[in-house]
Amino acid sequence: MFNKSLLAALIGCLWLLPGQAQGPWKFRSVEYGGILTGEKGTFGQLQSINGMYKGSWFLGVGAGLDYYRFRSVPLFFSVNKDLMPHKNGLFLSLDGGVNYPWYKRHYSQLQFAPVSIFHPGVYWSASLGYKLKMSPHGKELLLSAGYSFKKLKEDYKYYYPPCVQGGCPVTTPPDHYDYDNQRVAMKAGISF
Amino acid sequence: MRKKLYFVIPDLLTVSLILFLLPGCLKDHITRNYVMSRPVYALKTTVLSGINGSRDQPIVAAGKIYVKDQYIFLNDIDKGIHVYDNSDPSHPVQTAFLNIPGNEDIAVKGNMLYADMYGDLLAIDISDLHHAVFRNILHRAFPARAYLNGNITILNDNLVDSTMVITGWINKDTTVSSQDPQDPYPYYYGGGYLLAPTYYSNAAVSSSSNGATGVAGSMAKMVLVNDYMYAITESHSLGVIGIKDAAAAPTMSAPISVGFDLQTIYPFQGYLFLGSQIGMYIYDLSNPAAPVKAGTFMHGRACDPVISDGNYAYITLHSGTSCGGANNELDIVPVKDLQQTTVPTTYGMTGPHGLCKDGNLLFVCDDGLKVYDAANAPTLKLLTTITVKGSYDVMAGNHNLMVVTDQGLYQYRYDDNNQFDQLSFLAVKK
Repeated sequence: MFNKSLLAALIGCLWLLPGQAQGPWKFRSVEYGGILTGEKGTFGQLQSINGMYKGSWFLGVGAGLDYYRFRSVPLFFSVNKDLMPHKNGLFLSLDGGVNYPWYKRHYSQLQFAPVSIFHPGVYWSASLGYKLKMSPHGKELLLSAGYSFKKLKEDYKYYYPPCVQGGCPVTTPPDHYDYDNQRVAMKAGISF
Repeated sequence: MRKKLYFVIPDLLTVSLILFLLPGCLKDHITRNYVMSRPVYALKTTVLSGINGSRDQPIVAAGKIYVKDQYIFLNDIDKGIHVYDNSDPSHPVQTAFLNIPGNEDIAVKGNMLYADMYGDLLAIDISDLHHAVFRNILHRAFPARAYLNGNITILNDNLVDSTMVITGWINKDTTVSSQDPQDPYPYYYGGGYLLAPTYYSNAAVSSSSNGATGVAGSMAKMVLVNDYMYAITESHSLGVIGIKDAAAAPTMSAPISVGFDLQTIYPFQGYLFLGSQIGMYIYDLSNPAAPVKAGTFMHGRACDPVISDGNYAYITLHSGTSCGGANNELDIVPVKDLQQTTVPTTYGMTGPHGLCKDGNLLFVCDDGLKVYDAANAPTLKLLTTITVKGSYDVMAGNHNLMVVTDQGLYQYRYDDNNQFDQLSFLAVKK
């Protein structure tokens, strides 16, 4: 489920970084809140990304809450590149990882409820942002916007009325659904 | 800082405006992978002439259980009936397999076995189990064996073709673009072909059998009482089928409208206890040809097999899936005086199915098999829980216990101290 190409790119960045950066690695934490807008509508998201930065590069791991369509928890690697180091300016961000479901369907008592089981899928996003230094100690305001993708899978087992007696068909195989969700993600965050 | 913001903010607003318009270009994509099933048909005459199958036929999907004399008749859902010589419960031996597509229920009187074949009722002479002979048929005894698209197509309907019967299915994986299945409307398979319905089966000892008939269970939809068979012909009706003359074809009078979503029949001491998804109905068999309603107990929506010992009716309520509702419980309802308002005693359960009673022992299929002391009913005392997975069918008598699960059929021996020893296990073929 984790994109192999993405992993290869991340490893490549890690290999290239030592030749690019100056100075020691330092810890940075970024907390985001934002919205996700797509065909399904507009939903909220939260993210926390923690990692190390050196010069214009930042590498971290993140976790989030994604409320688009089905609530989920993406866990991902994050790579940021400051396009204008040491001053306010643009940055690029690339995230990639796994999207874990945190959602359960609900049915009324009168319905012939199917059985639904969600499974994880891939998550990735690419964005362009702008950072504003807020203090000499490294605190920054980050605004970003870009494309975000998350996938979820579902096993969905129907039970068909009318039932003559004693429960309904139980040996029918479940249907499998794949949900590919494409969104525009806009975030505002603080790094420190 | 202020100057920088002054220049930056318009750019950000422009970008934001563009970004708000972009989502309209992005489309989510939902795909659905499902199994499409198309039926395989055969001439009914061909099927009926080939009733005798291989005694080595393995169990694919264990269904309802019926016991007569030393034989166990085990339904293989929609395939037929396995017949085991259970003279030695430690080593039951399969002596025959009856090929009956669409079969789910069994009843035996004397040497005549009655079995449903989708919507038809068959009478099969089993004087020689190795050479069973089809004798008679009652067409469309069970018209409710209709399929999902609402059309009774080839299956025993004169409107189309009653000479054919479905003997199997061809399954094909199919992937299509779809939408969120949030509204669980019954799924329509293109072309009107559907999977054959298969049912849970739960059985318990029926105390109303005589020597000529065997023993069926609490979830049976057809039961024998003397010269009649009582059957749930469709979800709201009770059918009365005459079987006095074994040599003649069974005959059915006009069905009796009973209630909604009927599921099970349990006969006991001149009464029929009918379980439905909304309650239990009690019918008086003083005139066996014309049962009369004698009592009713309503409950929340759930699937409910029911048994009785004459003093109480024991009802398990199972919710979820096709049953709807939210109740998972065992209700004990006094039935001795049917004129009195009934107030049940309720025990919470996990997801109960079949049940049976042997003397003071009450067996309930629920998260294994629970064994209760019901000597002081409605107060129950849990004695033990036998660990089995997927239990839904239980039968007990003469210190012999049979439990049908989705893994196969277990047999146990139990003594007066309620010690249970496993004797044998007939496994479902994986």
